[in-house]
Amino acid sequence: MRYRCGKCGKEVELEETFGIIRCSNCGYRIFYKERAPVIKRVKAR
Amino acid sequence: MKIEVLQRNDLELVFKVEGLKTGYANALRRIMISEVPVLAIDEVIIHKNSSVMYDEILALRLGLIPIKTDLERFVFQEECDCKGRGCPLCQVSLTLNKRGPGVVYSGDFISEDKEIVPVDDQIPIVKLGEGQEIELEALARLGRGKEHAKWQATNSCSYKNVPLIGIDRESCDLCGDCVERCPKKILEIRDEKLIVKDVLKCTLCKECSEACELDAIIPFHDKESFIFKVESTGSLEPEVIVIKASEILEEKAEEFLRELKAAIEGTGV
Amino acid sequence: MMIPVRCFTCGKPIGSYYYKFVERVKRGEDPERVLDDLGLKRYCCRRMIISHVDLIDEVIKFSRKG
Repeated sequence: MRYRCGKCGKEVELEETFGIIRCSNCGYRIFYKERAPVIKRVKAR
Repeated sequence: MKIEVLQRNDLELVFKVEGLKTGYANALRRIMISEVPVLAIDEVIIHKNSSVMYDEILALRLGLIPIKTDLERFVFQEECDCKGRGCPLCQVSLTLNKRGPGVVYSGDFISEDKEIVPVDDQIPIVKLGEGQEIELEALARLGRGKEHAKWQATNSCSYKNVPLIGIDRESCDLCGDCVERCPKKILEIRDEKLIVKDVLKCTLCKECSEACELDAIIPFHDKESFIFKVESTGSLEPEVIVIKASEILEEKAEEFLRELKAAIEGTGV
Repeated sequence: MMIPVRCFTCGKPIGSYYYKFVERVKRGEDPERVLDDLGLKRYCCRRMIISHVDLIDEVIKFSRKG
């Protein structure tokens, strides 16, 4: 699963960091989950 | 039965009907509110949405935008020959692509059908910040107000009995108390006589008869005359709503008659 | 967040009036007059405009990066 760093905006694969949640680029520890690239159908009601 | 149009502007129709029973008037009113079909966005296919508004809220807002409707050209999706798959007879697709910063308005919709567009192109949908983007396709379908309020053709739709004001000229001493108390200011003393300027504005509040110590003035109503006020959301012309509602009432009565005849024949009475 | 598209009570579409109302009141017009002029007769529709706070400007700053 890909996440985006909250500070530098770099995309990080968190599974590759062996359970440590830390940006490999800037060391920031808050990440945002990207919106899934799926077309979503919503009922307008 | 006698019908007279009292007022007509682009969204509102006020008319008076004489010789009608309350039950009939109420049936007509209820059908205008809940059964006259109009187009509204029913499904939204979201390709991109990086705005701060969630997809579901965005879709709900889109659904509430009134859309110009031509009832001659569309059928309900459930009754359509395409069996609910969606075709130009039962569905209109509108696309919306916008990148921030700026406000997205209902006028930014690009419709595949140039006649089926939002009534008002100034309705704000969402505000986009720098770099935010929405890209979606909305499907408008025919529906009825009883299913969801977005398909309601009228916003205020009401009737009232025609008010009448009875004045006993012999006991009236022209004190002017009723003239002052009337909240709608429809009474006046002119040439030594109490006159009513506009009876139709009377709300039957009975303030005038309470103010009168001599019981010389009593407002009452005509039980068989009605003033209808139909206010459209803009998707249909107000008179089209009334005409369509009458047609639906007629269809219902015919269906009832047909079923009744079949039922009586079935029992062999 | 954003001004509701329709009046909660009667269903009249009121969304398009909000920015016009705000702009005219800022220019110094009497709010009551502006509402009358926009054609909002019922108090249900009038309260939609008067009581609304456009909070989206507060939230918009926190959009997702990238």
